[in-house]
Amino acid sequence: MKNTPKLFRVFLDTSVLLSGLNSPFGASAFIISLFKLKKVIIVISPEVILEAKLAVEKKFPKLSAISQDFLLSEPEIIEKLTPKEIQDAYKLIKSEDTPILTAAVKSKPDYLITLDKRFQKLAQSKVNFKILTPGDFVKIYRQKNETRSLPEEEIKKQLKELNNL
Amino acid sequence: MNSRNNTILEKMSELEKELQFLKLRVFLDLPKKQKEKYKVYKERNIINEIKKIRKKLWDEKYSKTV
Repeated sequence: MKNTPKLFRVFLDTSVLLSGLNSPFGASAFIISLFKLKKVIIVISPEVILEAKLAVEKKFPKLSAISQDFLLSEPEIIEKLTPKEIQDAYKLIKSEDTPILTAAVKSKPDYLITLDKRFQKLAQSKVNFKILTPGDFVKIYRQKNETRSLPEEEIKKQLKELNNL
Repeated sequence: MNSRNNTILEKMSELEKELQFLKLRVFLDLPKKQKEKYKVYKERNIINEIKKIRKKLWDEKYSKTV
């Protein structure tokens, strides 16, 4: 019987989401591409969506259409946080990052991906999953998937098929 | 008409998949300096703006719950 590899479940911080939409060939975009190819599960929260929406409206209007397109690709969106959940998490991390960390904990991810080094340092000891930068996640993904020949082998296969058209 | 729409949707889905594979390939092959050219906004500005918004939301909304 063929074993189906477990897909990584990654919670994206808002900075990673917008960075991935902002730069098509960066590590954050790599994660979004993996998601669109169903190689990882992306989880976000209503708080991430709100932050992204406000940032796009105020400062990054050129990302408006691509943000909408991303949401249409149906990432997993966890339920809105309750005040009790925020209160409990605030006991662990007294910071404005509490709602994002609470949402990440609630989503039970394998990894939380963020570009904010301060947040990473502050929160890592409080949770039982790894908090990584996009670049570090890509390294881990590629190491773990080497034996499965993904994604490079698949790329070669796809390109070969394209050349044969 | 439905059958034609389905064909178009299937083709779009194939193209999307191929596009994502090509993006992965470019990520692996393209030197960092060249990747920078394709950024719409500076990454530092995105990170800083998110920090500002997060602080504002915390002060106006979440801090009242704790």
